[in-house]
Amino acid sequence: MRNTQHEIDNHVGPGRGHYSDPPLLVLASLADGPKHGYAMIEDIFRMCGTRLGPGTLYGAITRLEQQGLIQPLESRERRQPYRLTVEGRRVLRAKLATLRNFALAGLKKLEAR
Amino acid sequence: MKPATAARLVHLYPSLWRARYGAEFAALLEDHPMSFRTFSNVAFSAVEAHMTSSNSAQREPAALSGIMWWAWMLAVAAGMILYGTVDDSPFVAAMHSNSFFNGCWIGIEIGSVIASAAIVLGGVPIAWSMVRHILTARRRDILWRLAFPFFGALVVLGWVATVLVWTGGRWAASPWAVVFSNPNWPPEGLRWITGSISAFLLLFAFAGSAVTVAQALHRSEFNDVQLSLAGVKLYIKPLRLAALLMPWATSGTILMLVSVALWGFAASRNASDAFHGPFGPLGFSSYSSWLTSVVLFGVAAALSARAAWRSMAIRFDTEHSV
Repeated sequence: MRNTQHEIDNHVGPGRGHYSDPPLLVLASLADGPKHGYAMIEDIFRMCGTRLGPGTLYGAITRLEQQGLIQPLESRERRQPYRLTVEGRRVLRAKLATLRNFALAGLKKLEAR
Repeated sequence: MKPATAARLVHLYPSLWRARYGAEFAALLEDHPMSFRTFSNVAFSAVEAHMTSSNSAQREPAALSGIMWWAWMLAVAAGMILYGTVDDSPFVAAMHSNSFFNGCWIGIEIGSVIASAAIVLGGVPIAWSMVRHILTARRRDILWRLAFPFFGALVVLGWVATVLVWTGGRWAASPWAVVFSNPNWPPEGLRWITGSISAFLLLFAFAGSAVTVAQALHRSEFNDVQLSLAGVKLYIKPLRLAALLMPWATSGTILMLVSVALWGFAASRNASDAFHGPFGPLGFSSYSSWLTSVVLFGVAAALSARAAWRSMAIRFDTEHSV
């Protein structure tokens, strides 16, 4: 997965506080249930203010499906919903836990000064 | 954006990717207004998809299968050159009178059986999967490439049959019988011309088959092949099976290489006159024919060994069906 740029301060200027790790954003978006592409883009925007482009979203979906972290659901429409696999849920939980520890440690350092 | 615009953008992606995600990606694009930002995002992502598709789970084993096919074509050409030199020559009697000389020939035969079995067992499911993909996806570009070996064989056989009919069944335009012909008709000059055309067509068929089948493997998709045997259903992953058989094909090719090299050594000691006589194709000496065979078998063995070695490093557990 790509390196992460975690949002620490929302008031540092436009474009500098966005969280940009498309595969992790997709995993997080699917954590509360299956979604198709457009619903993921809107959900991710609501979640962290990052609006993924359609190419970026499907680049992430391709990688995640190859890694077995998400899987497509049966669909008769052209819009294809995806859901997390058991492995995807485990990976998401581990990554978010790492991010939480990282964020807490970083904030603690900031507050110590 | 309009469906036609979305379809054009989807076409920026590799065909393999389009086959899997094209329809749903087009549906997503239709929900977006066309803008420079959307266009650049899709264009950059398509470039990334092209770069990663060359290393994707299917491309690597498909490319290795293509290399193995190249090696097989070289080995078949090398075997044909040697067989044509030995057939109906003084080498046959010499081999019968010397067990080591004969053993080298048997080694070539055993190697060819091992390699042939591995190529056929691995190749049939791949060919079956490709034909299914050609029919379902209507891929004529893959069809004509896959059909080239049959076309090449037809051209060679057609040419030989034509000459045979034209000469009343006396001359089959064999490149190995240009110098010797019984009866001595047609004249040697005509035998040279027709035999050279046969040799050229054989070269064309082998080289063309190697190139076109490797291209077809690169372009195709490989879904699982389902077999029902005595009520038991078997699911075969064609590329995985081919990768498993590559070391066997390589072993057979290396055995042929070693046996052919030793055969030449035995021939020079036990049939020296024939070894330096004009029994090779187009009147070349048996020695040059043997040397060409050794070189071709050597290249074939090196190519197949490289493909087999790389196939062992592939992680098929990340492969996904499309």
